[in-house]
Amino acid sequence: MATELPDDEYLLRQIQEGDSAAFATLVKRHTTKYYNLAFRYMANHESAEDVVQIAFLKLFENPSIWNPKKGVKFTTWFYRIVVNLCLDNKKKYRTVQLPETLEISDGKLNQEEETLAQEAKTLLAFEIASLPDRQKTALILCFYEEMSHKEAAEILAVSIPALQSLLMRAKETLKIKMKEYLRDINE
Amino acid sequence: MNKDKQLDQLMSTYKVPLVSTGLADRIILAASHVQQRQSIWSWIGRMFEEFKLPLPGYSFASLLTIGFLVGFLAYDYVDINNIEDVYVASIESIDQFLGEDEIFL
Repeated sequence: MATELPDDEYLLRQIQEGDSAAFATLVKRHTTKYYNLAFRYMANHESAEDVVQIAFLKLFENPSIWNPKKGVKFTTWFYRIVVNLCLDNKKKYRTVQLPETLEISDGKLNQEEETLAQEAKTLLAFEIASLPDRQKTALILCFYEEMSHKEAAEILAVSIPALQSLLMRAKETLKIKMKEYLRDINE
Repeated sequence: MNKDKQLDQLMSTYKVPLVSTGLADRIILAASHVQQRQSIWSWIGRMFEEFKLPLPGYSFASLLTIGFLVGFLAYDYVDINNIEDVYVASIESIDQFLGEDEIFL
């Protein structure tokens, strides 16, 4: 018989009572998810890992900062914590780390096309990291984290139409910045 | 293909490098050296977490009963018709009291 895994809210209550095993379970469950978010925000592997570590340690040090009575899911609340930390540490980790390795070709593209595609990905990572904070957050949460507009709006503390406007502006900016590659790759 | 779809396609190719395998363990290890802070309010809150007030009707009736009980027990009956029960100040003490006030005049 499969044992039911404890939910995040239960683990948090355990952490509030000083249970380090519950903290370990929570960390193992969510590290990758929040690392992905932080990386897309900062485009830097080390800083993304640092931010995730700081966020979890803050939670462990003062677990009462999460209040279950506010009715917000832990994952949504912790997204906000990580996003805020990314913003706070933006100046500290200013360097945008561009992808170093080329992906293995699937044989459909020739060398030149592959280089161009890689160049486009590199530039895209840079351009996303360079977007204004709120536009970047909206784009990452909705496109990469596949959050609903309602959830993303809650994290950004804006209305749904405002979030949609941020998303649209982010995409417009990216379309302009990436126009060379959009034409070259697909035409 | 329009530019929106092209951009979405390009964006979906942007993959995040894999997280270090030891990151979770590093965080857990770092946490073992961190002292947990407990706010006094959360501690008090937890102490009374299971405490629940009874229904308002019962609370009101209980309070009323306790009030009557305390009132009756604390009541010191004085029969004003019985001169022994009533404290009457002596003439000297009244004069002295009034005399003290007249000094200022």
